[in-house]
Amino acid sequence: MRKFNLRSIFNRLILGVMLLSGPSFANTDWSDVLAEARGDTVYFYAWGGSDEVNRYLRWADSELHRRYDIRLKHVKVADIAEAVKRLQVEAQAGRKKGGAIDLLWINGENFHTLKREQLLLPEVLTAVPNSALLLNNTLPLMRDFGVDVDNLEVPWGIGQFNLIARDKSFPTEQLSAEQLLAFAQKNPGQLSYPKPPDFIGTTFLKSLLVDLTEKDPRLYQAVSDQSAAQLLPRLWQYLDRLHPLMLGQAQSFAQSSAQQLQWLADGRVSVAFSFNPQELTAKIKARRLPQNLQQHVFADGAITNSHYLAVPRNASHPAAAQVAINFFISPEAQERKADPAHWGDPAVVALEDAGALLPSAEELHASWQSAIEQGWLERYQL
Amino acid sequence: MTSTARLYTPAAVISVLGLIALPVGLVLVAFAQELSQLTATQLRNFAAAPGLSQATLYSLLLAALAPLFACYLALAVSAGAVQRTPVWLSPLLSMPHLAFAVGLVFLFSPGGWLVRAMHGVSGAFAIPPDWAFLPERSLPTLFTVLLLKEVPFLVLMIHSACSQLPVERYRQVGQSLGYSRTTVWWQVVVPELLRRLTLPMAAVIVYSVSVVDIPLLVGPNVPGILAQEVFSWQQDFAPDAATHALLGSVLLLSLTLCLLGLNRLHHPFYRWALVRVWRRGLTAPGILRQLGRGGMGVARLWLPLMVAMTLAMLTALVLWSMASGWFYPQWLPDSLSVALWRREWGYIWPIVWTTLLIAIPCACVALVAALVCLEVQNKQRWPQWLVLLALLVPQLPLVVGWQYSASAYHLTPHVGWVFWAHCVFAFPYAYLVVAGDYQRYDRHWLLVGQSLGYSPLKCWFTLMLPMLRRPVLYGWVIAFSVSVAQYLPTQMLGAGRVVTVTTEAVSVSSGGDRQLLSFYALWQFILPLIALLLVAAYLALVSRRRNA
Repeated sequence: MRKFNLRSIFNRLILGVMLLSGPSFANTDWSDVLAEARGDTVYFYAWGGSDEVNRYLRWADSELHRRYDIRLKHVKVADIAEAVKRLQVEAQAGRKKGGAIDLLWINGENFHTLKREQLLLPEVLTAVPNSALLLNNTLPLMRDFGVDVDNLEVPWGIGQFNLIARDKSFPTEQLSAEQLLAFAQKNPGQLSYPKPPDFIGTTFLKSLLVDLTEKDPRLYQAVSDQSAAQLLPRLWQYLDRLHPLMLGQAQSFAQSSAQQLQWLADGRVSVAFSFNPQELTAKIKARRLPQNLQQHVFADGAITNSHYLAVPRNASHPAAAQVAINFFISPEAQERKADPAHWGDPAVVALEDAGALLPSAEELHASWQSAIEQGWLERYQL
Repeated sequence: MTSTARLYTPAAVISVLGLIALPVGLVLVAFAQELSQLTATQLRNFAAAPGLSQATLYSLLLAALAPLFACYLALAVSAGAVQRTPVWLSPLLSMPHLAFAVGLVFLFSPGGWLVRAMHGVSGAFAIPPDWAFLPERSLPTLFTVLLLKEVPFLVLMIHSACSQLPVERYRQVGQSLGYSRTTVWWQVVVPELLRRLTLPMAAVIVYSVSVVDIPLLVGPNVPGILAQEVFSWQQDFAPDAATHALLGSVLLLSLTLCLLGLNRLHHPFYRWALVRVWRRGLTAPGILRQLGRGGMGVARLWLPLMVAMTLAMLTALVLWSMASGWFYPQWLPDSLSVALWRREWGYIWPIVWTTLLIAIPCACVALVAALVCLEVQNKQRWPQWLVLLALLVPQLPLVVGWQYSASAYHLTPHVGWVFWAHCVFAFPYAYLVVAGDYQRYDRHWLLVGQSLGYSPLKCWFTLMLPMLRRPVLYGWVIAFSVSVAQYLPTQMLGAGRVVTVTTEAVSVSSGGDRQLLSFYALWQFILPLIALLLVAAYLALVSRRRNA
């Protein structure tokens, strides 16, 4: 039973007016969604390790509350795979609705799994009016690590792999694998990287692989036994030389890029990685990193990918989750997200003064991810 | 007496069912179901999992040696003074492992305070030395954290066991025969003590096997210890990971059983070795005796060292939570600001509130269940290991099993589940802390009371409980801090929605933001400390009133 009261009719009128500029097909449906979402709480499962992100989500909560009477509860997880796992367990137990998770922050392997197992709410992308604003023409937003988004998730931001190094560690902004090794030889014990399968650690290995194989075209196709046997050994040979020169002779790795950044501030390492092209600026401003640092990218460009928002099929509050998504990709929310004073994550919609992106390199085909991770674990985790 | 028995026995049965039989039973059912579907290929894949043997070896080393070292350190520390009540012990005891680990790493890691201070004084270490003290992540670091953190608990257990032994008489007899205090301690008291320490040691061993949040923070990671690997398989959604997690849990259980078996052999072995040495009339070689004396000296320094270290940790945590711009090699931050405190203040209250809302009733339930079980055990001899069963099974498989049951029975993640799980884990600790004094209590007092016409229940409340005020209240505080520090059950049964200071600290630690981590670790430290100070103040007040 849907309640019809003056207030909801009034809300619809207002929203109808507000959305006149948007795509017309969604208007009436969307006002239904807004009405349904009122008073709900969205349980948003998202990585909780970043102070900036946590604060941004608090802001989003207060805005959503003010505008749409929706509460956004950030359920902080150490790794979003936890949430994927929970959805699988719920599905196995036959829970078709009333699930614990309303909204997810995912990409890559996590998305692929949920898509394959059909655990995501379909047509989320088309359901939110602001999706018309997405920069689909200029950014590769519709393929998530080589897999079609298929309207199952909504782009939220852009990641670009970059390195943050102490001044004078490398002569130029562009960097090669050989230069990195040369640096390690001159400064033993000053490098570490997040242990794969950490997302950023794996991206580092991908960048090395691209550099070491001179951008072999097979990296952009599904991995075969043959291509793996020909290309991966170059990476292993390189790492065999690099590891003895790393922090603690690579007996332990940084657990995450965040820990690597902390180690950089502690003077333990000279290089840290980031997936956020503005992280260096933002962290220096927040006085979390010292001033004497430089940003670098690998010579073939910064591996670039996007991260997304998705709603599980069994979400308890799908309408409110969609309203939250629509807000997250609104120009206002995107502008605040892109501001280094708040988070500094590049926008996926057009902004007036959007920061320039780094020279970008294509993501490898998704199948290389697990090939690299498996190979790495088998070789170095004995 | 029958009326009391009628009251106690059902209560005890409820406690045992709800806090022991149900949790363990659920897990057995869940595992049996899963294991019955296993194939040979899955077993082979598991055996070939990268790093499995190394992870197992790490766990074995850690859980065998850290408790053992902690045990002898605790024995050495207690050698001098078993009469004095260990007041200083309590703050050390109530400090959560996580806060302790954060503090320890900041003090002793290569980029930490000690090295920064050395740089400040001597100008050495322009770059932090790779070898110094405790690396940020390594087995030795993890080992040190567990070792140091378990000593206070074991000292408390030793004190409680000593109060059941005529230590002073042993000593007098020994000294009249010309043996030194130390000799009497190690050759007469310790063999007796070790027998009584079997269960507390088992608890420490099981904790070391199954702890996850501390190794996630400071442990090695290529591979991590077994529990950590099982946890990450548990979180992983790759097809193999689920069976790996299951088999890993089974391996973890078997490992625990082995170690518990060894633990049972500990005191007979000590006795055997002692008798052998004694019969042969062997005296320890000079160098060993020197070493022993040195060791005892270190043990005497242990208390001031620990107190100093705790204070330093506390200072470091406070400073970090307020630091703005603190980079190597500065030994103090550029500036201090309360911005983070002010910003987080509004957000920490709901979290603190949830933590307290779970921990306070949980400590009460745990304490009541412990008292009821002790009272019943006074008449019927239930084996002690039965009561402590939840403590003797590694936490991870236990919680994994519960989570599986919860989804199999379509139960919504709920704060009630988390509360129950906390009770299951807090109960055995409350029991361990209270048991010594309770069992030693001179029950003639109760008979005297009853002969004056009071009911057994009234005697219990008005005579026994006030006389046991101290252990009972400490039991409550320990149960409270156990609840505050629970990570796995809170995170896994609460689906991440039940947020306590500990889950917040762990999820923040995944980002390595030290300011924020220090802030939450500090709260995790403060809550048990406040509970403890309140109890200590109350006890002091009562004793002063009695003396006045």
